Amino acid sequence: MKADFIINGRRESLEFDSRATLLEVLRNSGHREVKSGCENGECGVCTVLLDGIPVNSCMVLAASVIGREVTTIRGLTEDDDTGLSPVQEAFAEAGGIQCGFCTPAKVLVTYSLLSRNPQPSDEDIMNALDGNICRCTGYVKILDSVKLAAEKLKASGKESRKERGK
Amino acid sequence: MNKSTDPEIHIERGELSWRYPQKLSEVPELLSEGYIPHGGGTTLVKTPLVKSKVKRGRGFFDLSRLKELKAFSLSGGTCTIGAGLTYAEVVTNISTFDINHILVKALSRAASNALRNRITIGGSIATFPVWSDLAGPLIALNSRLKLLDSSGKESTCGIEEYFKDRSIGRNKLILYAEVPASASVSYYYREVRTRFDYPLFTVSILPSGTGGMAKAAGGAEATGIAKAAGSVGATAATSGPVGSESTGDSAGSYIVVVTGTRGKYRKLQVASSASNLPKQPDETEKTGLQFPDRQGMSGEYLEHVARVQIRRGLEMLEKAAGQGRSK
Ligand SMILES: Cc1cc2nc3c(=O)[nH]c(=O)nc-3n(C[C@H](O)[C@H](O)[C@H](O)COP(=O)(O)OP(=O)(O)OC[C@H]3O[C@@H](n4cnc5c(N)ncnc54)[C@H](O)[C@@H]3O)c2cc1C
Ligand code: FES
Ligand code: FES
Repeated sequence: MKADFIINGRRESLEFDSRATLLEVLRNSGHREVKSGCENGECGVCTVLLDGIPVNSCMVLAASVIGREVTTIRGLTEDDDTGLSPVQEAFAEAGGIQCGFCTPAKVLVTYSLLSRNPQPSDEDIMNALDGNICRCTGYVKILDSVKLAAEKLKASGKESRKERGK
Repeated sequence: MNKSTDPEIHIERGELSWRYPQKLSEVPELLSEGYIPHGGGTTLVKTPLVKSKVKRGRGFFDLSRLKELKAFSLSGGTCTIGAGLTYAEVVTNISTFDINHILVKALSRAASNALRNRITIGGSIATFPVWSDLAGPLIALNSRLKLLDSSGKESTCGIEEYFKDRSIGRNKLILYAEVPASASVSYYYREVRTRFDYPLFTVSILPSGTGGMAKAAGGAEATGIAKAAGSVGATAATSGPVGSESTGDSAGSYIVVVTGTRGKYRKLQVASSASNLPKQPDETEKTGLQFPDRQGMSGEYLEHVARVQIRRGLEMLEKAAGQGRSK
């Protein structure tokens, strides 16, 4: 089948099997920044934002979300000269990254959380990231990263893509 | 090319077909043509229809454009929850007026954040997996469902009827579930090993009478749970309620629903006090709480843990009720 999606702010017309998952469609159309892991909804590495909200792209049939806005990790920086978004910087600085495989998903979930809740409690952070498994960091540094990201966003007064109406 | 209500979507011959109804009036025809409702897709994505390219039905019809299924309303002490709402949307909606509602407690912890953003109420009721975080609270709340069939006729049924007799829901669309708006005096527990895990069992406890809605879906009088629950054995009707004899009088008693048991769930009425719960494992048969053996965990162990959790829940609720009385 053929249909349009808005991926990272750009309209893309894609051809795909009507049984394909959003993960398959994204990766087959060059969005390799979206990682593939368990493909069962259990690890969270395939997370993208669908209209600003985290979903497991491996558990979403692409045909069910045609025309909708999909944000991958690239969507956080494509219009930004600095190269890294404040959330990405925070993960790098606070040591929330080791091998980096789970990181795009964690950054997207953090970005979505902070867009709605700029000062999350530990409980809020753990709830938001409860489906994102990390085999390396042990999670403490990830909590630190989210808190640092919240500080950075507050200090820079940077608003999320969604809030800027993109 | 297959017919599609959306002109921008092109589906080739031989593919799984998708339909995108915009109005509820389009649904009966789709049901009669064999199209299958697609809610969040978290179960459907793994079905043979998708995975093995076997052509069983005509295809899927996506529910996300049907505004009736995305509606949430609160009226006369009853919440009407559109079947297309996700767990996350239900939590957000109910939290606006009752942050302690049992559905908020249950659904805010179910699955994972990303899954809660996709799993729908209709899809969860239709599948009722053993790890469901929705089924226990809906049974305890004596929820009523509104269904639409392929001839366009709407009907109403109780959640337990729907779960017990699968023919009731066959080839029908769940439009919405009705639950009492007030259910903050409640206890919810899910037995998991890590935060994001399938619960091995869940425990929902509400004071008897919470599920007695003024009006059932479609306007008929609902059966008050207090009346119906004299000694309800959902799956093993022969065994009696936990603890002392139930009189059928709801005053000071609690409805306890445990999912994950043999036969999927068990509903009990517990008379007034946690001390009525059997303490010894050899009294297990009194509760009827029998669990299947699970990987690394015997049914007996799960039964023991479930009873501990029921006791905790009852103690907590009684303490809260005592504090309320002394105010
Ligand atoms: C990794 C993982 C973990 C999970 N953990 C939990 C958990 O902890 N707790 C929990 O409660 N759930 C959990 N779930 C969700 C559960 O297993 C089901 O996948 C989910 O309830 C299905 O809902 P859906 O909206 O995605 O349904 P879909 O996949 O869209 O549909 C499922 C079935 O329901 C039918 N259907 C859908 N909507 C309707 C309707 N309105 N009327 C009639 N029929 C309909 C479909 O035709 C299909 O047969 C988990 C799922 C996954 C993948
Ligand atoms: S690849 Fe999607 S959750 Fe693991
Ligand atoms: S950094 Fe390696 S899996 Fe998370």
